[in-house]
Amino acid sequence: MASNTEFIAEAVPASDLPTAPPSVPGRAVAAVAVGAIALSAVGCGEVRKQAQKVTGPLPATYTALPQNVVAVASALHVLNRVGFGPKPGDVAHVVEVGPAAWIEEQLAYRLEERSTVFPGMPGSTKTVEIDQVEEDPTVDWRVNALETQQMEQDAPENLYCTDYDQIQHEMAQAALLRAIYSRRQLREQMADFWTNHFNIFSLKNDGRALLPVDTARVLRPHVLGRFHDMLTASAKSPAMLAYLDNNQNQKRDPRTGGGANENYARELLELHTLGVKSGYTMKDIQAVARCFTGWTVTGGFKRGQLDYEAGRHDDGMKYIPFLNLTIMPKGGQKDADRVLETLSAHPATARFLVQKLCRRFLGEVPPEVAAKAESAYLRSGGDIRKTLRPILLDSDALLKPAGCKPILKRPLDMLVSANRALAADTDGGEDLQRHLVQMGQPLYEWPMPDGFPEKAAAWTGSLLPRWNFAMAFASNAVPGTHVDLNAPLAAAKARTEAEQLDALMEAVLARPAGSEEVKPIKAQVAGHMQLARAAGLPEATVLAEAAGLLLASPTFQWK
Amino acid sequence: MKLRLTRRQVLTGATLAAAAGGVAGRLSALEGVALGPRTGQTGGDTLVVIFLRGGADGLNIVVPYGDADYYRLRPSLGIPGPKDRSATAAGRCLELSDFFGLHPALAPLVPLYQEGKLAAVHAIGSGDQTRSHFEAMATMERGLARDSGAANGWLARHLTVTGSALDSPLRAVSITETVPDSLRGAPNVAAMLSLDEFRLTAPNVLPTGSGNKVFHRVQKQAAQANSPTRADAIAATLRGMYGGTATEETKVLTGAGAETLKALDAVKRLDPNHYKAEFGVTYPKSEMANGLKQVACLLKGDVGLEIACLDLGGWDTHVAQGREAGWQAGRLGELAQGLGAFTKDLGPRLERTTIMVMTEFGRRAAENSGLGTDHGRASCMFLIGGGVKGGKVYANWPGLGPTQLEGPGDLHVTTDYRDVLAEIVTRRLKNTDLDAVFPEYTPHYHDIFRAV
Repeated sequence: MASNTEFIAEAVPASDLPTAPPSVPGRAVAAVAVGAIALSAVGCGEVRKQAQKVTGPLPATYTALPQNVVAVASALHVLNRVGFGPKPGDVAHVVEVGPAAWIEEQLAYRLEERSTVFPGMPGSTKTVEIDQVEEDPTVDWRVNALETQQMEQDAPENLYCTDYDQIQHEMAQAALLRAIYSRRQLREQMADFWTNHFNIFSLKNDGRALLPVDTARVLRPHVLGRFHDMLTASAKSPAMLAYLDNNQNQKRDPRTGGGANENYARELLELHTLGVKSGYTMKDIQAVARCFTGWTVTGGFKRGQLDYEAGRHDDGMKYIPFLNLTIMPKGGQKDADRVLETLSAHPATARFLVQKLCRRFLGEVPPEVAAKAESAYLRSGGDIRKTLRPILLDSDALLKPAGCKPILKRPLDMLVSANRALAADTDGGEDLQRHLVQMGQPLYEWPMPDGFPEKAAAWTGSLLPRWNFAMAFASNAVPGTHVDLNAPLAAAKARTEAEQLDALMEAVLARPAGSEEVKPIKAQVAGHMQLARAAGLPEATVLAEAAGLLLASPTFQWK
Repeated sequence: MKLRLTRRQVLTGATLAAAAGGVAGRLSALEGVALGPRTGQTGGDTLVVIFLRGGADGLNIVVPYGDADYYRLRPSLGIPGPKDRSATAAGRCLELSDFFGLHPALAPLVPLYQEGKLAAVHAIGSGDQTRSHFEAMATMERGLARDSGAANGWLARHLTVTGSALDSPLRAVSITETVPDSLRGAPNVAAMLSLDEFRLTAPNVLPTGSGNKVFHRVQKQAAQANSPTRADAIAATLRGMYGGTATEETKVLTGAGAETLKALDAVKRLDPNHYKAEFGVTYPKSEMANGLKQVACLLKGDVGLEIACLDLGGWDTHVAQGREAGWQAGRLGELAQGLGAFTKDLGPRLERTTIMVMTEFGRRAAENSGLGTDHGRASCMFLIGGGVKGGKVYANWPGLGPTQLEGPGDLHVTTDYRDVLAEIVTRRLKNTDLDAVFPEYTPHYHDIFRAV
């Protein structure tokens, strides 16, 4: 089903789109082309800025929530968990097509032949899986317009000669734009999931020069693909090799006494595949580390690329007891591949990944669901879509109304869902990112390989920055991010104060304003608005405070 | 972006532009703002960590005047001993023992030493051999022998193992622009240049397309929106929202919200901009003193503060370091005067406070041709507080003779910095899970602290 039915032409906020507003994808393409020609005379940064303007987000329409409270709750639940929360119109759409069908739509793909550009091998093709959901074209345009994202595609080695802070910002900007505007919401949730699973601390050494390549070529192509492909790409990712010191992993040198660096091998087993409780020992780590000796990152002219130095590889025989895997001598580069293959297919890996996915989407690990997902993983050779099906589509879990444990939104989730709820027009830039930093989740800056914490207690101490973000966001005090609070009011034809609050509540909390669940909050905000009006506050401020309070409410922090 | 240049700015002394809070005005009523004991609190001291960024020259801070090699290596920069009649009285170091003396600019610390509340540790450092500021700081703040670049900070680990969901949002505060590496990996950490930043910001809606015509009206509206009244009104509504009923699963959030609102209230009542010190203390006008004043304000407000981190930059003295006066003396003066005021202002609270002054490495034993010193290895550390067995310099002195120096001519590290940190963690912070804080390290205690 076409998900662009929510978009209409006439709701473009004129003030934000000074040039011809893009209405439907076709027209937007034309607008960009015209813009690009017109801008060819100005500086590169200017082009980028204006291109972002021209290709701003497609407008969303506020529609009334369906009457069926249970169906609305179910749709909201699925949109919150499978994606980053509803944007206007999404709840109605999911109620209409049904939550299961919407999830199926997010999982669906088609196969396409793509030519690959390998040096010396013209004309070769590979089959790629393309999500069935058509992407909002403005998402790719805006991400590709970012200078360092462009550089990643054209000449990644130049990232070393670029301002590292710019790389960092544009990495976060790309992640935010995608999470907020992508129609492939499950893909973006999974991108965040795997970014944390294969976490890399960008501020270590030259991490920022390497990370864009890791994201674009290692993680994103595989987030819904085969785990083995992603694991292999990650093991050979220069960013990962440098982050977990495998670039220093070499065979024991009898003269210096220096030898294998076990850092990567340890995290590979503990965090990437088997899980720390699976029962492997130090012997396994040491043997795996020996298999990965020699894998390093190039320096010099073409720095930052994968390199295998045969002279540094330990080519002796290795035995990995936990995997019952014997690696015969002189295996060279194949040693690592054997290990990764065995690890990917191991039941402990299936269990570890499934438990993590269950916690991510369900907030808990229901044994029956987990068992189905584990067997799906093992049967399908680690197909991530197939592994996700039992987790997302089990009638007793995500699809059951009020069926799952609540999950506290992490700051990224909270900030993105706020932008989606009020159909913000944002550049995802530094000013928005600063709020994320203050809330405690600076993207790509978690130092440890385990990724940002999952448990709620890790995040409850930074509520003040959340509240301040809510207030700044609702009052358009975040430069580069704009919301129109009158839009939901106009769509609901709200005239009275009560109707205004109802419209705001349905937009922000995506629950019928009359529902029992939000009654206490409604009373609080209604009282607040009354007092604010009595204090003589301008109407716009009253609305901003009300919207800010709804975004700051406990209800909005959970998903 | 500004947020990430901090480390470099610290080294060049260009950060910590904390707005100096006026000291005028009345002391706010402190009674009634205490938040009460929290489940996660260890019941230990409040720890104040001052990090001297840039590699402070320990040899000219705690001077080994009893070591003749010191004067051989530092003919111009060496600080004369306390009884050296050839130097002016103001140019001599202050006697700590028959071997060590204190830089004269640190005179405000002498009373603390005499009262037994200050100890110095010398020839202390980490295993980092790079002599790179960034590497050495990363190593030390992560509490590791050598930095793997992929770990959380030692204070973060302490906070994690002793924490709970209902911890005060002001449990760990960094008076810096960004969270230092020692606290990185503990998400519930507030970094602020001034306590003033810990407040609710009410929406401030500006009319669109106003241009200059409505400038004054905008100003007025901004003032109105940011007036304490609006923030109070918002806090009141939030209090209602977070005071509502919660399930077993969601009360972790509502409880934390209520704590946050209490902390907001407490800080507001503390009125940090009008903080008035006690015991006749007037804080000097410096960044260090201002930062310490914020910490004193939090301590006295009983807002659940357990860890406070502050930075002082300007220690990278490659040229024109100065001797009893000059650049380094100026930095030491700022440190000592700030600490002097702070410790006096704390009064009896100093008994349950531990202050630690540390740096990433010391400097080359021999002075260089630019009358400065280059990156070295061991430096010194100060420990202040009621629990310190002070009045003593703790040192396994390695000597400064040609065969005694390390690498290119640096003071040998004879005490691992984690020995002291670990003693603080167990004896003063009452954290029993030391393995979690310093994994793969077995510390050797030097008995510098009494147990709480």
